[in-house]
Amino acid sequence: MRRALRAAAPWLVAAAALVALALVLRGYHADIYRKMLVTATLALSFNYLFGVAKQLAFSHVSFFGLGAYGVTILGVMQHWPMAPAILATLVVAVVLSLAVAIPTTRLEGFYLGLATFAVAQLFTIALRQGGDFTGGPDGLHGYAAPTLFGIELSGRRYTIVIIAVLIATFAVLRNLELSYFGRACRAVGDNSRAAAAMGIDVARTRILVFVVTSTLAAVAGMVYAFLDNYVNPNVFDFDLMFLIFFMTIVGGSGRQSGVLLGVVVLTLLSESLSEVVGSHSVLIYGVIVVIAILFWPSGLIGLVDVVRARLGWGARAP
Amino acid sequence: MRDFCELIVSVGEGGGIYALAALAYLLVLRPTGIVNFAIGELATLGAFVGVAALAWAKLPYMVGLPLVVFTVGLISLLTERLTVHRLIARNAPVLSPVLVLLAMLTIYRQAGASIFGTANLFSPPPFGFSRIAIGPFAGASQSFLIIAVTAVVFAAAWLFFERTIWGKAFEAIAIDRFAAALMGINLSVAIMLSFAAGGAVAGLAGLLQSPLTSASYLMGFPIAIKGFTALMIGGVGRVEGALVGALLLSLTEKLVLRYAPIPASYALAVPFLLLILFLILKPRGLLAAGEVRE
Amino acid sequence: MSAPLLELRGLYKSFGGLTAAAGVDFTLAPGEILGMIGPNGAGKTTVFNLIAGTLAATAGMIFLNGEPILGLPPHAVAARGVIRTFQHNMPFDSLSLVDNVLIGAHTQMKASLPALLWRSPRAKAEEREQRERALTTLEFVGLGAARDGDVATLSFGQGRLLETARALMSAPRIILFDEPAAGLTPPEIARLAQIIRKIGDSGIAVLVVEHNMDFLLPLAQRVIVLNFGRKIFDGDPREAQRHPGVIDAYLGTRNVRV
Repeated sequence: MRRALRAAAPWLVAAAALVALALVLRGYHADIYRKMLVTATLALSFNYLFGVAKQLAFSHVSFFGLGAYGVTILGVMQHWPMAPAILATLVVAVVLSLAVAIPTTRLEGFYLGLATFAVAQLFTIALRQGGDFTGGPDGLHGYAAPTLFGIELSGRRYTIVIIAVLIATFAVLRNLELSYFGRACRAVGDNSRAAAAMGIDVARTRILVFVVTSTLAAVAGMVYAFLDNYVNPNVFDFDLMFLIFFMTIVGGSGRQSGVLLGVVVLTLLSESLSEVVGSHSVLIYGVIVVIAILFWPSGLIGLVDVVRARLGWGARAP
Repeated sequence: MRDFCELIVSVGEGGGIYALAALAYLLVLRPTGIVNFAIGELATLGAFVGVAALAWAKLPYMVGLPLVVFTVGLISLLTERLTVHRLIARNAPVLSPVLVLLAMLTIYRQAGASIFGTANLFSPPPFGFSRIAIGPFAGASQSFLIIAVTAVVFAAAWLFFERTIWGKAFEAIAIDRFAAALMGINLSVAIMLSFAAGGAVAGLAGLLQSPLTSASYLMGFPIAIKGFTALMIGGVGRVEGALVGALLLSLTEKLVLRYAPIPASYALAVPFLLLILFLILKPRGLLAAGEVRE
Repeated sequence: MSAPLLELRGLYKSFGGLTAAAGVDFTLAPGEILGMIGPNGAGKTTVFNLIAGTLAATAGMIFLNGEPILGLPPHAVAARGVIRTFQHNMPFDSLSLVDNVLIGAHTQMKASLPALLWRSPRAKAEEREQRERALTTLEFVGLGAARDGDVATLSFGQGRLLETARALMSAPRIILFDEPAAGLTPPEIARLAQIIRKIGDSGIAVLVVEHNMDFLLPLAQRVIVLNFGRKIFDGDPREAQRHPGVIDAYLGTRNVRV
């Protein structure tokens, strides 16, 4: 029992800290905080797909959009109860991610990036041309926050939901990382030929990790839908994809704590920069990414490791 | 019949831009194996510099065009020296140069938007808006200019690869980088040249397209996508492939627009669908030849 | 006499005009250490890759315990207990050393994906069990002391031991060694020979493709000699050294004074 408690301790502390922040922050800051939490959830699954499994998948943000639009269209516009709407959206996410993964499984490196980029563009076109079903180029907005299991999805209560989803995503990905399948994902990303020689079905591994992470992206999207009660095609486009990249690369790709660090840094940066530099902030992010790739390939979390090592602080974060 | 001839000119015009974009990819891809997706944004920069030189500074076209080509080529060269070179030198993972170029893409785009603003800018066509007719073929003067320039550039590119020592060097590096280095080919210089040339051709594409669609910071993406799709269709190895792929892509686009009963906005999806199709079915393209370093 | 563990029958492989393997037959029994030798270009690598599934044969059959395995992709061949090592060691850089060994046990792990996502008690137990096995296997090959290190810091010889440990983790029936002695120092070669002998003793069949005769001939119980894609000798290693056809193949002339 005590061992279970000790294992659960870091989780409880983290959850408590996140919730405390949720209760303390108000108004504008609360909004930023919630956006940051959702972005973090999305970035975690992208980090696993790109940083660990080494799949350059530009479709990730599209699945995020799929989740958001899915629950909005089904749960709000079509007036389904929330639970079946969520379930149906998950099923669609799984099916579509399979549809993308299976034909592209042989593509490596940049070619996979290109194929998934094309898929992402098709998704955006579909959203814009969706007419009343998707709200077209203006998207869907102004819908009321629905209820799930009696909880109305708004305000502080909703922030708790967001935190729960973030922690669940983190936990699921961590379990994956520690499992033999996680090892197989890394092996396939490192050297698919040697992985096959170990009996690993490379195609199946690639497809599975794509499906799992894309579905997690859709889950993040479902949470996003009720942040501002507004979804539109411009959100789920290349700009967001680039920002997710930024967080992963600058934070430290392949490590969950790295990505989370990247999310926090980007959020704080954009807040502090926006008054000073305004719309040119993306330019600065681009420069930072270039510097990170050239000079800190292991990301900010790598620098944190170095500092921890110098101070003798023991084991590195996951 | 006249309709058909107009279609040909139209295909030539569209195809010319895509062909130049495809060539820009090819020039970098062959010796380095890197897909420089930023050429779309380099094209945009070419268009912007063209606006600055021709519309603002009112320089003659004979001065403006080389200026654009030189400037964008230089930007691309500097990028290579500052970023890609370092990564190649320290044997970074194969995706790193691609990622850094993606980041550069964003930087170019934002820089362009910051300097030139986000509104569409007018770019003056050198021969005005007159329509000219060459035999049965009639079209806007800009269309013919594009066709002519593309033909010249491709002839030069073909000669470069087939007849010059540096062209052969590019081939050699693409086939086996270490052997090429052992043969005395200066890899560093070759890569610099390839980036400069790729940038120059991309800038040219942007300059040529801007009178048709105006110069805008968003024009890069379609050029980048279609250029690469053209390259895929034609086969990622060869100069002729780039041209053939570009013309096929342009033809498909025009035919779909004219005869397919779908709204124009859906036609936007055509290049992406083609790209996915070719990536899945024929990763080596229609005219595949030789090895591509991936 | 029971059916052989591995049987190759009439294996043909041609690349365009070049015939790399021209009707190769041989068998392999459990616990047997079989050497495959021959001059450069003899077809050893081709046969090796045909067994491992990396190459598709033009004609012929390969049976594993009576079951045909020719044409199966490499991962399927490995999943059936035929594991190969790589001549240029191929460790996984983003995995720790122990994890590199553990990856060998992939085909032994049974937990389903949902069970892994929720970390069921059974999945955890399986993981623990295999981790113990990995540590034991590391001790067996002599890498026990290096286990907390990084794969990047291993010497070439240590990397070779890691390959071997990884292969053992999959509870193989056959291990195919691809020039295992290449690049090793003499003490490392001796250690490796010892390890391979113990592997054979444990009932695992071993096929060793090798150029280093000092290493192979004392180790192998039987030797196959290939030349121009054909098997020209199959039998005792000491007799192979005296066989005129073998000498001919290596030296290329009939009139050598021995």
